[in-house]
Amino acid sequence: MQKLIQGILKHAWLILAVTVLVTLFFGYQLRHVRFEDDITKYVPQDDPKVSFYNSLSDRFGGFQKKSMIVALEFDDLFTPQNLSSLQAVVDTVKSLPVVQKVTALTNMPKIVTTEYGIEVREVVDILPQTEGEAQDLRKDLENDELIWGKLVTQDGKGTIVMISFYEGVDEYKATQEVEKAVDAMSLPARVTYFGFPIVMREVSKSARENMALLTPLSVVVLLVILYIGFRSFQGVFLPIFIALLASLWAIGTAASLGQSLTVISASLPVMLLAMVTAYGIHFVNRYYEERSKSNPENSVLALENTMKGVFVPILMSALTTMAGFLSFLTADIKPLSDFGIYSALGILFGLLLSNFSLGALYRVYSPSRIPRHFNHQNVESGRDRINWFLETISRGVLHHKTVVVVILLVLTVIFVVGIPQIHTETTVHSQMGKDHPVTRLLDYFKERFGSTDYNYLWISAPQTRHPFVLREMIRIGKYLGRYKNFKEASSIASFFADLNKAVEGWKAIPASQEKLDNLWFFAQDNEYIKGRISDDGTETLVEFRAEETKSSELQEDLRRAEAFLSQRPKRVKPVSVEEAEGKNYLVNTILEDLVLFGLEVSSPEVLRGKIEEIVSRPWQDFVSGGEDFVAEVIKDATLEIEDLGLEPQEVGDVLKAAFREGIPSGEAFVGKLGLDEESARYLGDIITNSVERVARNHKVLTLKRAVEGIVGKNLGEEFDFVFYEVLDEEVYVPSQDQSAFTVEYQITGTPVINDYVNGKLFSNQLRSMFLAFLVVFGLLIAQFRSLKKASLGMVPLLLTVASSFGIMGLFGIPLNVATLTIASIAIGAGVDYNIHFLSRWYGELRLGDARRAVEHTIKNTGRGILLNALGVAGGFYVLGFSQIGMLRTFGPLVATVLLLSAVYTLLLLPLLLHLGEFVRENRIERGNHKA
Amino acid sequence: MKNLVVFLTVAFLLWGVLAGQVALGLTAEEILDTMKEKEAHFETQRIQGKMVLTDSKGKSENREVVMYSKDEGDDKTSMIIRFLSPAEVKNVTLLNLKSGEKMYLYMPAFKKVRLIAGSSKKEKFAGTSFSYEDFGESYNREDYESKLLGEDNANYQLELYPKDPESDYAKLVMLVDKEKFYFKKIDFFDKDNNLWKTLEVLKVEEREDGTTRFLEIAFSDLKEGSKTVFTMEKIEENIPLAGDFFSVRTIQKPSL
Repeated sequence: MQKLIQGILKHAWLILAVTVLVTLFFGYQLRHVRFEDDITKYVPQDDPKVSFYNSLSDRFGGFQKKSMIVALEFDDLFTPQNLSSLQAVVDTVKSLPVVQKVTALTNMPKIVTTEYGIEVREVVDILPQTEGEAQDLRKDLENDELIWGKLVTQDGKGTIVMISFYEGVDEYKATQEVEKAVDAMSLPARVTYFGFPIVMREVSKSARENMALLTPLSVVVLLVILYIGFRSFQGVFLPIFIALLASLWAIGTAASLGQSLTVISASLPVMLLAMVTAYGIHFVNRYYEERSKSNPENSVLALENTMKGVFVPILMSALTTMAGFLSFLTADIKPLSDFGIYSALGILFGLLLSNFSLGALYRVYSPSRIPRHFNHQNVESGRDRINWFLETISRGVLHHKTVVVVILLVLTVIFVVGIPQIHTETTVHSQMGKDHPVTRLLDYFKERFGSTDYNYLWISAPQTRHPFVLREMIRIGKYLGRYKNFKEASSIASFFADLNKAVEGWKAIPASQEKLDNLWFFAQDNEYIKGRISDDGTETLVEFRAEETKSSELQEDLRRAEAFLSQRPKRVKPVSVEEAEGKNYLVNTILEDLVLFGLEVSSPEVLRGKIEEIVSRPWQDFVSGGEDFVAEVIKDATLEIEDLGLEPQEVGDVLKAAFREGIPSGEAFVGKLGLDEESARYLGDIITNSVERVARNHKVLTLKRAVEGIVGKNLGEEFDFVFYEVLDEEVYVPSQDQSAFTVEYQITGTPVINDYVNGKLFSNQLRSMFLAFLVVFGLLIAQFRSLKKASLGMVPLLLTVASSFGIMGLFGIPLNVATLTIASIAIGAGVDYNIHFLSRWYGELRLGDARRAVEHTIKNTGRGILLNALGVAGGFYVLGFSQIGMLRTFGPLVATVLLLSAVYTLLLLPLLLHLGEFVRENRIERGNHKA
Repeated sequence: MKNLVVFLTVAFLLWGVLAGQVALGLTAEEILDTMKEKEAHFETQRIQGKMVLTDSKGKSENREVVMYSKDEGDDKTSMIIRFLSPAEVKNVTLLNLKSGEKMYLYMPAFKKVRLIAGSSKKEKFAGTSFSYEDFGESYNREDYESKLLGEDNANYQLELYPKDPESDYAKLVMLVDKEKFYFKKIDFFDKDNNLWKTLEVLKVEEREDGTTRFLEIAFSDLKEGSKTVFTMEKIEENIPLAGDFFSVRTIQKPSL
């Protein structure tokens, strides 16, 4: 130790030079500091849930991982000029090399039904040329659930363009390219951008503005408080300067290694300021004390004594704190383990700077005078308020133990009671505050377009364009749509249902694979559809809008979703409805689906009976020769009738006659209408097919009307899906057969992954915190070589951490990735205060009795602790003025925890330490008395 | 004197050859006209072939088709295209009347024919890289302004500008075989003059009458990274077809 001290004193200039050079180096590295917070990179990339989520963007072009949104608000979107502007934006963005896919109103699939035709086009193919056409388009789109309320606002003024980037691009640069391209267009619309880089940019900008404003303010408050304590420029400036340097060196290290800051590591400067200041304060405090005891000419001796006195405590304090932070290396979460490393580094730098650089500075420059108020040798002569306060504490501990115990108990109970009320919340509202630009941006999109976040149901099957799978997608979407995190399901199933409506008149999924294959023929080239099914057709996604909810609500929604999925059939085999098993299953399915789709069934048995009756009847039962039936048949066959050069009316007359006379429709036209036999038979086949189609429609309508009659109200198009099932000729029933058709489900999405990672973060943090406690305890044992002494040192620490969580619960401060670091700060500060206090205490105890030890420790080391706590706390309370919600709560929280830590150290620790001595002294006194 | 006569004769002959060469240089329009003449002409045709569709990730799918076509005059063609495989598109049949004036699609599962409106001509045909419009295209002076960009021993290079304002293409660059006057390759450029698609003739057959017939063509969409190769395996020309063959009725028949 002596050699080290002499070495520092001898090479002071060199140490100072190295300090300056290192500072310059790391200062230069700061230009590389990046703030990047992709929560999916928090966990190891082979984490099953996260790697699954990441893999979806490879398989599905419509999966929006790297993406952004451009919102355009016109006075009225539906004018020819504004729709053209929208298309111009789409074309411009599409042409950018970084853009993989653009989804907008103009390229959404539009199923157009004409008199006897359908087609699937993109809306852009039918861009209106006149105001009338534009308004017709609007009316048409208002019924399109893929578009209205999603891509277009409910009032028809706004629309969004969703842009996906290629996987390998830099999302930040890509976003800027899009913004630049669109900004150059001079659109007649208000343009708003949204995306992860934009949010991060706003958060960074906001954080920088806040810190630029509040940091100097914090530092000023800290300086003022320290000045009150030290009445000396050095006493004020040096501890803060050391802390800031340690902070700069730690962040500079991260920057030079190419590491980016996350929201966790962004609290590093805050934390280091809180902890490392203490080292400087202890050093300066002790230096002034030694100078006040020695001759003015002997400043070097005073410096030597200072270093002898504080070197080991600072070293032990730093090592213990470092060990506590290094326990974060066990975390799965990379930013957390990085936080641990850089915090430990920062503490190490603080240790080096305060012991070496500060020592070197005082060697090179020794102040000629020490503050007049800084004189504690004579307890009675100490004049300042701090001395008075410390004396009061000392008297309390010595003479009014009961009062002190009561105060501590009350404090502890109040705070600990708050612990069960802690809640987690990671919403932007809670992190940024309701008035923050980022929150307002999210609220805008939420209000106008529903949401900006999506959850997905991934489905895997041998073939996802299978009737069973597509119907399950509709059912699951319907069920989950009641929950905020799974709104407005859209998928290829929705699209198939729309397409079937255009072909058959029913918004439902056909039971026939052949029909689905034919419908796919129309859809397969559409970008929207292609993006939602894998190339081999074995995987698909159902996309849900996710409203921003609290973590607890998301978890509840997930639990319900998983529960619903768990009871869906996953392994099925086809069974004919002709068989009893098949028929019963179909009837049950129709009944269950009616309830699933929102029908309140008061008499299920009556309904079941009616469904069973209609299911049992073949479609032929619904053929009638009536006027209306024949008219429907003729309408269905109009294309072919006109192609033959015939009039629909005349064909209808022949058909009516055939029904009356009982002639099969296939034979009805032979020898009629001047047709040759081949043409007559062809027409007969056409009419036969049309008769079957119309009869089947009637079967569905019969069921619909029967159900409406039982429930007493009309049922809308949304129930088509259910009623159409009455036409099924086979059903898919659950099967245990291993070779049966098998479906697999998994839920994922940004909100789900965020919540999962946050959960892991919490569990990692808690685990690391407990590990830190153990490590600190072990090191205290090693330092004091006594289990009892180490245990005493742990008590204030434990209470501080418990109280800090209690405060959060009491004041409704949510647990999130930032506030969780409060435990680390509490441990770090608490360890420092405890070690310094304990070291001084045992040192004083060797020189005198316990009473004296209490007084001197409290008034000397306690002064340093108090000044540190007050100064740093004062600085952090300033953050309560921040615009960012998280800082607004985090700052005062840190401040309060530091003060608590000081209170427990100054009140509880001497109480515990002195209690033993006091009892022993009393025993001795009583013994002497008796004697 | 004798030498002078010989010299003058040779010079005259040389001049004649050179002048003849200059006179023989074709304009772009003339090249297009010659190409049209050299095209195999037929009243009716039946082609059985195979399409190989390859997507941007290199995954390929095979489809077998049978095509019937008829020259309706005025450069218009009617076509019936029926898919024979794979199973999910079996018997789906397209009827294209007079180069897209009307188009119908027969869906065998629904036993129904549906009209496809004219504006869908630009839509991709059945997942291939071709659009409906591309199928019926012929490159002639009536439909294109043209310019001769250059030539070498083997090929002419032409630049074509569609006269139709609704065309998706700003220009086409065509490589024409100098000897047989068929296009070997066409590059299609979008409205921003970016290369968008290419059509390449991979295999030709020269017939006895000097006309050429394509046996294999490849159509690539560079923006999407997809490619379709159409191989004509069996070609029959001028087959007897009923007058009403190209009709809604025909495409609904189980066999054509």
